[in-house]
Amino acid sequence: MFERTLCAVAALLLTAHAAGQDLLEADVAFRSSARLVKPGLIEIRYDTAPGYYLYRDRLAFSVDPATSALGKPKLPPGKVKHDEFFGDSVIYRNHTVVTIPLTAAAGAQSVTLTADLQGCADIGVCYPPVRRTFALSTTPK
Amino acid sequence: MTSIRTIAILIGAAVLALSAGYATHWMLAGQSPPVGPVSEESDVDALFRTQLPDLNGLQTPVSRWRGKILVVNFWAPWCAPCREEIPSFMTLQHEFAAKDVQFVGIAADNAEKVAKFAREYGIDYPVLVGNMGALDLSVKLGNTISALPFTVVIGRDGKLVHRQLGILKAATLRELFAKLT
Repeated sequence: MFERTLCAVAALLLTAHAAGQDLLEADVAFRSSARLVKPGLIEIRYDTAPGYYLYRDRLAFSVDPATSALGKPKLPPGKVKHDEFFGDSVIYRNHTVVTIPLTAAAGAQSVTLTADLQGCADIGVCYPPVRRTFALSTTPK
Repeated sequence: MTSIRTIAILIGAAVLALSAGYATHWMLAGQSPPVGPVSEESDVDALFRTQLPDLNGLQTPVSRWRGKILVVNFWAPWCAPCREEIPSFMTLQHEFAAKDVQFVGIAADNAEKVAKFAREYGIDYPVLVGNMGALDLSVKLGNTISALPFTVVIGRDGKLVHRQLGILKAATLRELFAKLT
């Protein structure tokens, strides 16, 4: 009886797996979050699903209000991906952490960080550029 | 208890093996996953209602190619796999032009970037500039995740006969053309 149950569970698992071959939505494939880790320093984390990657050169950041300012992002080295038709690109997989210095405008309690990204799936499709915004307090919680 | 554990391990191994098998299949075959059943005719109507500027800025209705075997390829300069399939599309356009096959590229980027890329690649079939709105049109044709490349093939009767998310191989197109021409 128990073996039969196990077989049924296995069949269900296999069916679910076969049905799950669809590609992920960009929001699921390329998850990201941002927080202020200490006064004047923003940390952005990218959690990229297995089989997907982000282009380093497609990461871009800006801050609002414009009277606040971002410093130069500290980007990890990443891996070089060679493509016969696209050339060499630096890419990020799995977990990636980027830090950016923030000079908040005098008296600003919060800022809005805009973070652009673009990536592809190894299977051979690319996603259009994605823009995400994060409301950040200028003092760490 | 030991036998239960053994069975559980075997099931786990089977699932993992199947996962690897699927991944290897898609990668080696150079195919993309299926995107579902063929769209309804109304989706193609949306395409034929579309009018976009060509590389010279001239507004061009897609309906001008109605009645041909139409291959509409959604692409963008920022899409690496798109670059891979375009040369084969140019070859096939020349080879099948006399059989009423017409390739049309709809690019999801701005006119300047699209024109630069088209010049560099020497794309000699019509290219329309759709900006990011091109992706919305592709969604109407079944590109549910707005990824590229995405290609549809429409028969002379205006009905959708094939759509593909990911690289569309020349061999697949030849098979389709053999049936349609």
